[in-house]
Amino acid sequence: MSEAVFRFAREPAACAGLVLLFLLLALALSAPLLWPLDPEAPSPAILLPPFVEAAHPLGTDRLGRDLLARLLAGARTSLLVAAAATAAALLAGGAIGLLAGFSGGFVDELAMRLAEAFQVVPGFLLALALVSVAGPGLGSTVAAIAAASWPAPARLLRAEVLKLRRADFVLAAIAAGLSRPEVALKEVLPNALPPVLPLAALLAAAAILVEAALAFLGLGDPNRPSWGAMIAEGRAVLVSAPWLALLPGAALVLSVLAVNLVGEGLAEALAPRRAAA
Amino acid sequence: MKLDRRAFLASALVPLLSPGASLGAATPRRGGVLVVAADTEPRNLNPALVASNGVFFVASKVVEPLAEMAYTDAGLEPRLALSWEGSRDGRSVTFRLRPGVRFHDGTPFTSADVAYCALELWKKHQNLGRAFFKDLEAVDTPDPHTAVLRFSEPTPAQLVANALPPLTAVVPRRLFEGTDPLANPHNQKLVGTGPFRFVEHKPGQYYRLERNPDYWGAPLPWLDGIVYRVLPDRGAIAAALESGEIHLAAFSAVPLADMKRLASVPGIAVIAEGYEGITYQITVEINHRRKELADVRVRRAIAHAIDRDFVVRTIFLGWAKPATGPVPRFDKAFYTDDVPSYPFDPARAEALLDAAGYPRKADGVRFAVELMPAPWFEQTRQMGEYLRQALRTIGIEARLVLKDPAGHQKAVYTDHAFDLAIGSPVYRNDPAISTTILYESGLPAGVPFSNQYGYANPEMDRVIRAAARALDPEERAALYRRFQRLAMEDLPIVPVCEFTFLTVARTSVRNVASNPRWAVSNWADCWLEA
Amino acid sequence: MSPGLALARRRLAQAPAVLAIVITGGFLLLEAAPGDAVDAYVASLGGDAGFVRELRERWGLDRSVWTRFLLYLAGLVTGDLGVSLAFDRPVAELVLERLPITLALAAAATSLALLLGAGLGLLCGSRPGGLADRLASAFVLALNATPSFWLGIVLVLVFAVRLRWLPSAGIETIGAGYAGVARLLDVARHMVLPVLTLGLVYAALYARVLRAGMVEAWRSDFVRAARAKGLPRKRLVLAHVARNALVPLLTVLGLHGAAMVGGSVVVESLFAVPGLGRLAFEAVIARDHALLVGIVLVCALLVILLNLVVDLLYGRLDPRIELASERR
Repeated sequence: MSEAVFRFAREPAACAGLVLLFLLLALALSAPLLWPLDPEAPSPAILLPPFVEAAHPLGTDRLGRDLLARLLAGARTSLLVAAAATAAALLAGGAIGLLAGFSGGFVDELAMRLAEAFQVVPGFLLALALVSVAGPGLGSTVAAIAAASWPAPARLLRAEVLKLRRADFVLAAIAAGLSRPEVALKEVLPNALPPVLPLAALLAAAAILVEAALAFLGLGDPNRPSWGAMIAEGRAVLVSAPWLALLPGAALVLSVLAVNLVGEGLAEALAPRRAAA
Repeated sequence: MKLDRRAFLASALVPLLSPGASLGAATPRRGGVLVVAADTEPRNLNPALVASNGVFFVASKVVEPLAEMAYTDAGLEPRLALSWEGSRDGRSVTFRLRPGVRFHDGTPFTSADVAYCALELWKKHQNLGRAFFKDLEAVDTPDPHTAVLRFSEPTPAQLVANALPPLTAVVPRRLFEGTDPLANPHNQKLVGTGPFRFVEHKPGQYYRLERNPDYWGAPLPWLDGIVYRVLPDRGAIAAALESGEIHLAAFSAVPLADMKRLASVPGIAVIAEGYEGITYQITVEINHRRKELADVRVRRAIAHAIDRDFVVRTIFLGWAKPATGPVPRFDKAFYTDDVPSYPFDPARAEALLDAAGYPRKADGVRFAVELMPAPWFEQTRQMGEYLRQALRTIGIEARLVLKDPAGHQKAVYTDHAFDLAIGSPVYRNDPAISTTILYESGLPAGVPFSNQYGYANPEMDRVIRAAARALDPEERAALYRRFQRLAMEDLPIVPVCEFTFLTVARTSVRNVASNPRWAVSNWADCWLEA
Repeated sequence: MSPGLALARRRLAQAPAVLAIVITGGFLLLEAAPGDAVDAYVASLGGDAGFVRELRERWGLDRSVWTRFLLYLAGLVTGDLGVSLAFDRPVAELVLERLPITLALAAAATSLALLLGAGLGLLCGSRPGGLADRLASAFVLALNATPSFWLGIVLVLVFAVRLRWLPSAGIETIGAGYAGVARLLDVARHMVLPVLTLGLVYAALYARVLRAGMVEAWRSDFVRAARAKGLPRKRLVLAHVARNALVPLLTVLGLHGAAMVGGSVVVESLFAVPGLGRLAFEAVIARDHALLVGIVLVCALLVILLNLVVDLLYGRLDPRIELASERR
């Protein structure tokens, strides 16, 4: 493991991604302290351009709300949804994959057909339908993204189980009298980590984009600012106030980029290596 | 009000500068196909069966009503009917019909068509006509150009006249009689008497209408045809207007925030007139089943918490007016401002809430509500966002709940599963058509845009019933003034502001907004500069 | 039997179960939504209680969900996709009308993505760590992080509104009366921005996959061996490294068949393209069971077909392909 950390640290791009991600997280978390303006409070100063008034350094939107405060609040939404949706997809998909891999037979068959059914339906369409049905909100967004993305971790973990269950250390563990769930948690899971971590980064990046796209179509949580919704609002004044759509767009690109860089670094660092030349 | 300044200046200055040119410009030119943006494709396009602005926007050019609204003192101008007169007992209205009119299939338009439409389509199937014409018993047709509508109960002729523009579109009896009207193919392939004939509908892409050379109003229409491009995305509409791909977008199809900029683009004008006959309101709908909200002091507190000027200036960017009650100012016959008013005053709102027994608790919150903005307009949603903040300042914590149309319709008007909602009722030229239904009690659950709020006041019900039967216009007007006062005293719903839509058009499109229902009228006099 | 063929046969055998899940899921999902098709319809009109009640009877929505589902299945068995309540037209007709548009959009976007993606991927992967790789990789990563709807907005702003080179919406000039080649060109002009919007994002993805596959291949024993034998670099890159990276690319391509249609929802609404994605969104809003299930069913069939093709290609590309993940 420490070797992997070392390899990760040697990749400048991966480190840059990690720093960027931490920066975004820090900004999102400390937003109420850093810039305590209410991101939802309207004011008569509408469509103020950036760098004009100190009270609103990045300007204001259509209803006179502070853009900086909204961008920071949007970061919270984005990262929160990404983390929660990824965790949910990994947990649900991972559990189903482990179950399918260890049980085999009918359970395996059912789980795999279910996964396939979810994969032959356009994921974004599925998320869209789920959010429309459940009503826009943080919970429904997370659930919809997880529902559209659980098959990938499920397949991955199932494949790992199939691969590892004949491995010596697993056989030894079973011989030692460990139960299946114990084997799954103590032996298989830690060994499945190398392919799972990069997948998690991939899922998180996709989750950020899907959350934004849903909010762009008006299906975001109405009680918290979202970059996607801000772009949709900014689009109405794209020519006269382009910063309203461009800034949240740039924020989105940066966040997804950061997650992607970290993911790529992880994949690189954790890739199985053949004997060094 | 906010007439496009440049267009206004131009029209004012041109005669001074070059009289000859202005004469030329004022002379309508025949020819040209007008391309406009459409955002919906109704499943049933027949205005005799479906009275809605989405249908009218396309269908009103093909199928005409008996009369249309006008910017005259009479308020109405003849279309298929030349005149109308109510009997003294209020049990009949006699229409003289326009002679020499033919449908697009060549058959003549007669009183038999009116009789069929009235009894079989408007009364039996039309979404608004079913309630409006429920007392219609028979239609006599003494001759091909006279139709007499007979009612079982006294029905004010004034009310019937006011309902003519939206409710009385006439399609040919020959094509509908003996069929299931709701499954008739001519609900899509429209046949009417209008200045334009229906050519084709390419779903997802466009509707195409062409000039009716046999129009009764010859030499009208000026245009060779109209194409409605289906552009469901508002951003796409603005871009298409600027790039010159379309001539006109009605019903504020372009985001309001972009209007000021668009108005300054050479060759584009923003026109605020032409919608007075279909004035909308932004209202706060209140569920009286919720204990706190059943208290009139709480409702008044909510009204005092709303800064109407801010709503008008910020959400509507000035293209709206604060509402004083359920009837808009434009309706000179019924409007009164002699009603209780609730100026913006958060301190007073807080005092009212304290008096009602809902003090701020330790966390500063008096009570919490769910606020459900209707998905109909960008502004209903923005009003929701504004109201949440406004309520927060007086200690009411509001959580926004958004639904899509089906979900909203079910939650508010069927299940009553809401605390506050933002609605946008339309006023259709007479309080009895779609406004008093918002205040009347005893309606079954599931009726859209009606009093599903749990509000009931016997006096209110009495006034509404009396006004619907009052034959004398003076008496009706007095009753409706009383109605407005009661509405603002009890405040079952809070009218916030009244607004009409905007049309954005290339300046080459002329005679835009020539009547108060222009977008949903027949456009016979509209023309394109070369 | 070749491994590809075996994979394909397996997939075919599993298709009915997958489709059954899709059909049931789609139907029940809309059933779980608040409000029905009548609620969605009257929300735009208003009307009295009788109007709403009669509409519900006429549309058969007064019957229980199971009755309706069984009736729908009975129709489906005979090949009838049912009637759309929102459009009052047969679902098959609606889907056939929109399907070619979405397919054309997806095919064009995929071609663009493959072409551009392959180019960028090769550029990066032929000398990983080199200057060209670093620059191109940065571009690819940034592009990959760009939301398609935002990209679309920016493209419209630049090419339709500012420069006026291309139309901003629709798929052809209405009433222009073009025919033959002229019409084809007109449609092509309209498709440029939607195809770019949809294709660029995938190009970045494919480039990343190709690059990753090539990096992997450089480390493999047989490439090392080939290098040791002194094979010319150009030949080495194309014949061994890139070829080896095609397998993961193909996998991703197969997986993205469905995503392409999903992504087109946003692009189709941005550019007013009357495709299947937009129609599906409208079906959800209108609570149109038959239409939604019909669209999803057609999508699923297409994706299964696409995966079949991919399976067969696997066998050709790499005879050593392991089937372990599906076979035990």
